[in-house]
Amino acid sequence: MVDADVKTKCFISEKKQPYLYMKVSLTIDGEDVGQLTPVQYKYLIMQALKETLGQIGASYTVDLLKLSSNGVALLRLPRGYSDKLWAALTMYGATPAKRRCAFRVLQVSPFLMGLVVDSRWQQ
Amino acid sequence: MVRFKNRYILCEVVFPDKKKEIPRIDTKSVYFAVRDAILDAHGDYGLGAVQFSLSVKYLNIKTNIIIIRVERKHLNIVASSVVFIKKVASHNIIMKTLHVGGSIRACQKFLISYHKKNLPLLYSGCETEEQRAKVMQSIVEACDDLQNLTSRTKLTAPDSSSALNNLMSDD
Repeated sequence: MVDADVKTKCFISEKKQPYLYMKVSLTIDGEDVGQLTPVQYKYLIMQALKETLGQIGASYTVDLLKLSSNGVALLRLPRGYSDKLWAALTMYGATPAKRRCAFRVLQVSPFLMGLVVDSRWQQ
Repeated sequence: MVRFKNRYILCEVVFPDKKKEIPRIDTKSVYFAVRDAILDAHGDYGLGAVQFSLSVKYLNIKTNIIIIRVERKHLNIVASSVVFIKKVASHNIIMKTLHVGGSIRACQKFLISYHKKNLPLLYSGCETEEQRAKVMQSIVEACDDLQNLTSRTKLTAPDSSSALNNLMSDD
């Protein structure tokens, strides 16, 4: 039975999507992440890739779409390597200055629109 | 039962620096050079994937030929990073991948045909008459060996004509 008052719509795409959008938050031990510029943020991502995937792995394209002031960023990864890149981000543990740090993946979606709502934090 | 399937990469080591003494490299130093190259090009992931099966199976200092073994699945990782090797035990080198085979035997078979092809080139590259004679002698010796081998397997009497002529007519 469908309730007449509640209107829900479900979109399912059967096509393979070219990108994976990812919302990640970065925390660095004893440092304010909000101060990071997008260039610095991207540099840390590249360091993460270089460490686990080497120079060839670091040549995969990662786009930093948006950087919020609290260290949360929107990334766009090519679908084909997304799992490798995801793993590399998760494995990253220390900045070049030997500070402990972590990328936390908050949300992933093949559509950018999918990151608008997060059901985990909904009241 | 499942076999471990391997690939064997046949490489030639080229020394760009012209030095009189023969460079001293051993299997271990080549292995470490390959390992470092993989770590550089493919990172911890690449090394972890390959390390189980990676080994240097054969090294010939006189002909500068090496054979590297890898698991078949991860051939690309090694083949792509071998290209970037620049140094083995403080010698500047260049690695040329000649062949990729499924067994050491297949690589050796290729190696024989490769050397066969290269001996005449060596002959034409000689500058002095002495060198030329040396190369010619080694060609003749190699041909004699080869003919002895074939005659033994075929159980026919060795031909009276020169082995070198035989080779010329074959090619």
